[in-house]
Amino acid sequence: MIPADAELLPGAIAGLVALSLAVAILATAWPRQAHRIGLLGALAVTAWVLGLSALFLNAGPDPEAAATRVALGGWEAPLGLMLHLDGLSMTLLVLTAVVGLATSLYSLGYVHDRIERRQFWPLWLWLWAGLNMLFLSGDAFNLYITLEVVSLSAVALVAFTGTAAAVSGAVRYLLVNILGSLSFLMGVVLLFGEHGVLDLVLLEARTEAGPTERMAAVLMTAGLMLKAALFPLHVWLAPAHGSAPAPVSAVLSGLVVTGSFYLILRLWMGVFAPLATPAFGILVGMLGVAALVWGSLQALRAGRLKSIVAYSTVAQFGYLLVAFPLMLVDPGAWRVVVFFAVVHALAKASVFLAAGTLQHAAGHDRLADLGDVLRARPRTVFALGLAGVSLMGLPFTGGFIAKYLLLEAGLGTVLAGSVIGVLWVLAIAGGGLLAAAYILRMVAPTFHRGREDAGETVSPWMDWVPLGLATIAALAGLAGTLTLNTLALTPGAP
Amino acid sequence: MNGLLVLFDLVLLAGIVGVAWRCLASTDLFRAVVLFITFGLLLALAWVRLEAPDIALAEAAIGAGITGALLLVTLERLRSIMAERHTGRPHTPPPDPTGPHALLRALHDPPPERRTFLPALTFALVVGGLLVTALWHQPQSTGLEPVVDAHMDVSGVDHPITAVLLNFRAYDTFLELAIVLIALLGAWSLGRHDLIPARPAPGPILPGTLRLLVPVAIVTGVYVLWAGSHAPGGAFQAGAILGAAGILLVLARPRQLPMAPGAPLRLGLTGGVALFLLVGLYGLVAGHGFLGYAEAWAYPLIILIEVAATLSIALALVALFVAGRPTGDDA
Repeated sequence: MIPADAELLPGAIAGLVALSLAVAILATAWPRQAHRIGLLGALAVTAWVLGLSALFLNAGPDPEAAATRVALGGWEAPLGLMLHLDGLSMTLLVLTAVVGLATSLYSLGYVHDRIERRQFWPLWLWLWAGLNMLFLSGDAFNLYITLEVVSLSAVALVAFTGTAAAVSGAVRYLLVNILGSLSFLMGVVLLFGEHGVLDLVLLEARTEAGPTERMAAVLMTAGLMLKAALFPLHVWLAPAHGSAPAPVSAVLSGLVVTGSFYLILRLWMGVFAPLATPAFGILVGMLGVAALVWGSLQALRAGRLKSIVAYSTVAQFGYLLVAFPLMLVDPGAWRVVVFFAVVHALAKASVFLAAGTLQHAAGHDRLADLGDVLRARPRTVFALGLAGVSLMGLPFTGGFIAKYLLLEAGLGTVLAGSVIGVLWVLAIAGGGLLAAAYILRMVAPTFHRGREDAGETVSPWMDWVPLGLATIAALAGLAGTLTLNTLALTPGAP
Repeated sequence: MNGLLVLFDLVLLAGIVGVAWRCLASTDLFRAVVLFITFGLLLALAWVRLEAPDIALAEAAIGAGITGALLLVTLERLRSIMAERHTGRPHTPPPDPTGPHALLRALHDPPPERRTFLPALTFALVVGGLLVTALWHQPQSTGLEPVVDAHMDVSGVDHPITAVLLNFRAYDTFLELAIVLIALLGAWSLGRHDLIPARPAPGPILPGTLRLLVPVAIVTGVYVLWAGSHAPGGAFQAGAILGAAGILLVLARPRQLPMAPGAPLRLGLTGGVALFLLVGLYGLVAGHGFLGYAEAWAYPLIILIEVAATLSIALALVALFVAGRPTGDDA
C-alpha cells in the first residue's frame, strides 16, 4: 500500500499543475461559461489537493520518502527543472485550496454582473494556478516566473472594478511588484553566475557564506519583503488591498502575501541558511516589532472597515518577522511560524469576505456609518468576530495555539539566557492586545443601541461563506498536530 | 582590429548609459519614449556583442519595437484626454468611464519632486557598487552549456537555445506564454476598446508602403519562426514581427477596425497555451513526464507548439496595442 502511494505521487503532482492550468485556460477560452468552469474547477482542484495530501501523508513518516521531486519532461536537474513537494509546500497547497474554494463560492454571489463575471473568473483562476505552481516549484528561475504569474493576475484583479481609486492602487501595486520581481531576478542571476545551476536543492549543496550569496540574499529577500509587504516595505499594501473587490482582498491578504513569505522562509532554510547570523535575526525581529506596533496603530486610526483589515495584515506579518530570531535559537520553531501564517491566512480571508458582505449591504465601508447594517446582520458580524478572535489569539482558536507555540518558543529563548527574548515575549503578548483593540473596534457598533437596517440584499453565498471560513479558522487549532506533522515531512529542515 | 572593437564597446556602453540617463531625466514624455526605443536598440547591439543573438533579436523586436509602439499609442491617448479636459470638447467619442482612460488619468501624477533625486542617486550607486563587487568575485562560469551540449542529439532541434526553451525547460516557456495572455486579460478587464486617437493618414503613401511591407513582414516572421530550430529565432521574435505587421494594419485604418468576433479571437489567443498543455498532457499519459516528448516526435511537436505560440503572441500584441476588449468579446 505505502510504496504504491509513493509511486503515484509524481504523477499526482504534475497532474495538479496540469489541472490548475487547464481550468484557467478553459475559462480564458470560453468566458461565457467562465463561472461554471471556475466552480467545477475549484471543486476539482480542491479535491485533487486533498487527495494529494492523503497520498503524501501515507508515504510518510520518513520525510525523505514523502518529499517528492518530479523531473518535468523527464529531464533531471541541472538540465531540466524539477517540481518539488514537501511538508511545507503541501501545507500551503491545502491552505490555498481551502481559501480558494471559499473565495470561489463567495464570488458566485459577489460577482454577478455578466460582463464582470467574464473578466473576473479567468484572472482569478490564473492567480490560483500561479499560487499552486509557486508552491510546487523547486527551481530558482521558475520561481521568478510563477511569481510573475501570481503578481500580474493579482494586479489585474485589483484594478478590476475600474474605478480611479482601484486603478491607481493597482498601478502602484504593479510598480512595487515589478521592482520586487526584478530584485529577485537579479539575485537569481547572481546565484546562477556563481554556481551554474538553478535547482534549489543543487544550489543549497553548493552555497557558502560568500559575497555573491550575501548580495543575492539581500536582493532576493528585499524583493520578496516588498511583495510580502513586510515592514518597512509595506506602504503600498493598504491602498491596494483596501480598494480591491472583497474576494480579491481576501486572496491577496490571505494567500498572495503568504506566498512571498513562504519563499523567504524556503530560501533562508535552504540556499541562504549559511548566512543567518544572530545579528541579522535580531535586526529582522526588530523590524517585526515595529511592524506590529505601527500596523496596529494605523488599524486603530483607520476610518474604513477594509483599511482596518488591510493594516492588520501589516501588523500580523510582524509576528512572522518577530519569529525569525526565535528560529535561530530554536530551529524547530519554523513549523510554528508556518502554522501561524496558515491560521492568519484563513482568519484574514474570512474577515475580508465578511467585510465585503457588509460593504455590499451598506454600499460603503465607513466604520462610523456602518452601525445600522452591523446590527441587522448578526451572522456576518459573528463571522467577523469569530475570525477576529482567532487573529487576536483567544483560547481554543487556531490563533491561540499558534501564538501559544510562538510564546513557548520565545520563553525557550528567555530560559536560554537571552535578554532580548524578554522583549520578544512582550511584543508577542502586546501585539495580541493591540489586535484585540482594533478588532473590537470593528464589531463594537453592533452593541450600541440604534436602528437596524439590513441594507441591500446579499446572496446566500456572501452570507454563509465568511461564517464557514471563520469557523474553519477557529477550528484550525484542532488540526494543529496534523499541520505540524505534515510540516515535519520536510527533508533538510530541522 | 581588437582595439577597434574595444573602442566600439566603450562607445556603446557610454551610449547606453547616456541614453538611459537622458530618458529618465527628460520631462517631455514623447522625447522619453523615443529615447527609450533608442535605448532598446543599443541594448540589442550590446547583446550582439555579448554573442547572444537570440536575446538581441528579442530585445530589438519586443523591447524596442513593440514596447515602443505601445508607449507611443499610450502617449497619444494621454494627449487626447488631456486636450479634451483642457478644451472641454471631446476629440474622440465619449469614453467608457471605466475604460482605459481611468488608467491613464491615474497614471498622470505630477512629476516627482527634485528632492527625491539625491537619495535615489545614492541608492542606485550603492546597489550598483555592491553588484559590481559581487560580480568581480564571480568565477568564470560556463553555466549549463556543457550539459545542454551533451543532450543536443536527443533534443529534436539543432539550436541549443530552442532546445532549452522548448524541450529542457519547456515549463518556463509555457508560463511565459501564459504571462502574455494574463497581461492582455488584465488590459481587457479595464474596459471596452475605444478609438485610437490617430488620424487616418491621407494620400497614397501609407497604403502603398503597407502593401509592400506587410507581405515582407509576414515572410520575415515565418522565416524567423522556422529558423528557430537551427539558428537564432523562435516564437517570441516571430510573434513580435507578425504583431508589428498587425499594428501597421491597425494604424492604416484606425477608425475602421474590423469588428473582431469574440469566440474565434479568444480561441486564437489561448491556442498557444492550450496546445502546449495538450502536448504536455500527452507526455504525462505516454510516460515521458508532463511536458515531455518521445525523442522521435520532439521535432514536429516543437514546431507545432511554436507555430501556435507565434500566432497567439502576435494576436495578443496587436490586441494590447488596440487596448480595451473588442466589442465582440462581450457577446
